[in-house]
Amino acid sequence: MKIKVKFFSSHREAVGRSEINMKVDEGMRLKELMDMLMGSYPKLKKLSEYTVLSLNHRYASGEEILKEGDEVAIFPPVEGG
Amino acid sequence: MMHGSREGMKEDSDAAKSSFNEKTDGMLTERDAIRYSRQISIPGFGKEKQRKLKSAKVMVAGAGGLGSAAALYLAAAGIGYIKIIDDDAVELSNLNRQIFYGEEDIGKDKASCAEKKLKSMNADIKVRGIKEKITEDNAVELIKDVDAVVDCLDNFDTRYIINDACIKLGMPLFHGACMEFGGQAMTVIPEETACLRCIFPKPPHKKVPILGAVAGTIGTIQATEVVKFFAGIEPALAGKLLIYDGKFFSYELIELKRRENCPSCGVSNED
Repeated sequence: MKIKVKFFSSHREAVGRSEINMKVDEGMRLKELMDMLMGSYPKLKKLSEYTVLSLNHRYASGEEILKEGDEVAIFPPVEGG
Repeated sequence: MMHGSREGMKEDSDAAKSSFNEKTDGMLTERDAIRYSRQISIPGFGKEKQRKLKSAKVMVAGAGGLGSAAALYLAAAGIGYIKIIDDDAVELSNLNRQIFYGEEDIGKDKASCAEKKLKSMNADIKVRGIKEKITEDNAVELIKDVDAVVDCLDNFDTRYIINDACIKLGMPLFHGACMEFGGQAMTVIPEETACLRCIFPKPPHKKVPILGAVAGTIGTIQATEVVKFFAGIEPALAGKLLIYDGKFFSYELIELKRRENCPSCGVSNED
């Protein structure tokens, strides 16, 4: 099934792209997708502790099961002021 | 482009004379009507909403890049009482983003400089600068005399303290943070929306570089939310997280849910 993954800020820099269209297996959980992406993009793995996820514009924990047409966003929490 | 024209000025003056008379507590004066006429005349805003801003009491936590932008616009908008708190002194490296301060302020307390700047911008509001570190022991005391808190802090340890105090008192919290070219903002309405600990259970703990204009962008988004809240216009970021990427000019708006086991606002904590 096809899904879209969008990257923001430092995560976009780590991947070198703003979004990726991917084909993933049915029943895959969001956290499994993250493991896959971190395997493909080592720089993304370095940011793993500082990553926030959303699925279809809703905050996501990682436990969610992906569905056809889903849109995932990956971004860092930021601290400065 | 008639904003600076004599016609425009006459309109302002006429609008002011139409219904605002005497200086009364909580009521708009003739001077208020002129001063805020450009926002009073926004369709759906009007004099009553401006009066609500005048009655509002807000604490700006942190007088750095976010706090400079947020507080200046809150003062300009006519928020009646602004308490601004910061325990630092102005440093040269602050000046790329902390537009409260100039070179002559280096070495001085941020809180007193910020108070002076806000008073010079708007003598019709009350302003109080407080040089104090926000701690678990004093947070509730510091915020209990205001109606809302704007989180313009630069670290998550203190953000959690303010978040917890706001949840405890049922007080709205307007969060903002920034890093490099990007930032985030969300509005916390206790018992209704997710709080900071629901969404950011672990602090980022990264000392970050910041482009000054990005701090200004996020700070003014916070100020917009505060003004809308007190004017009775639904804050668009209540229960949502806005992610802003100023390098590529992209935005993402994410719906948030409260976390049941949140150590601050989770239902399992309720008595």
